[in-house]
Amino acid sequence: MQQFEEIQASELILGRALAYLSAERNGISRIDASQLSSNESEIFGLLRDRMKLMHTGADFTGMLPPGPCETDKPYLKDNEDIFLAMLILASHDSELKGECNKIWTHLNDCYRCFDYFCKVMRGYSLKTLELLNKETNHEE
Amino acid sequence: MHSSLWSMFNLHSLYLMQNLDSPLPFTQLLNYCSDTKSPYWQSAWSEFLNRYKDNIYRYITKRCSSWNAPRLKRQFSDTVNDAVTDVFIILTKNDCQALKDFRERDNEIKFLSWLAILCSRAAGRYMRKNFLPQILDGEIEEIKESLHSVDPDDRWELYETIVSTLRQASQKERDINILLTYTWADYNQEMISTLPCFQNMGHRVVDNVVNRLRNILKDAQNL
Repeated sequence: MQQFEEIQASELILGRALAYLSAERNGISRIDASQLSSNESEIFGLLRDRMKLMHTGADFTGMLPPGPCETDKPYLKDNEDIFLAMLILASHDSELKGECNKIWTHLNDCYRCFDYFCKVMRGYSLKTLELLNKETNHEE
Repeated sequence: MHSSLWSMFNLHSLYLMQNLDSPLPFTQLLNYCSDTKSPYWQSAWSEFLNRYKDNIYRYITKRCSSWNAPRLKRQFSDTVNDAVTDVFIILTKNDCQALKDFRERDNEIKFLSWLAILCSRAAGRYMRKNFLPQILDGEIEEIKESLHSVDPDDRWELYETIVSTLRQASQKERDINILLTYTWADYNQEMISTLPCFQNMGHRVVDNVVNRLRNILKDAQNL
């Protein structure tokens, strides 16, 4: 985890790396790590290795604190595994609903986590849309 | 409302004022202001106003300036006056309990810091109560702009006010999150639909949820 924190340059890079991972997982795009920036590439590699160790996302959403985070540091900032858990859960529709509810509840409870989540996922959603567009154009 | 505050201080208090050492030492002023049974209570408050009125107005004006509600500019001086009145209500209610609870009675610098926080909170409460409905009344792009211009302290409290109001109205956590992601974090519908927890979401869900929850908030704030 220490290594992860050192490499993470910004929420945006984390978001983009998650988007590459999600695209690869869902077969949207084959990711060539050499085409990514060095930061994105390293985080992408770390996330991919880490995800292989995670069996189910539910183990992680259950650890979200009840109510808002008490410290100045949002829980999500120290626990990037939550983002990976979301990607895993997204591929299991039946489990998704209840687990996502835990995530929404915490984000609604905790302004700092919501703020951090939105910064990370902005990079994720923009990159995902870009990869989807690229794929659509490629198919045409 | 503002003039009624001044009417508290009558000729009798001016007479008593002549019997006080003027200006009063800070601790003594605070003690007289905290003790509603003191014969010097009214005259002490008169001096309190003379000493701290400008500070209170400055703290309130600063906090109110950070809001960007559409109609605020036209009502700015009334808003500041009402928030100042709220501060005096807080200071004098329950036998001046707020002043009694202030512990550093020999430290005027700390008192001014305490007063600044009290003013800031009172102004924040006033603004949330009175201007949230106005913010919600605008077009969606104006709402986004208004939310972004709010002072960071107010943003946090405003966020919690919105969540708590919608939970009281039994809204789903998912829908509350959609509203906040769309308006607060300025995502568009396309971006929201890429998020892992929102995949498979139907077309127009975001529009419907945002409009429905906005109306719930407007109704709740107008009660």
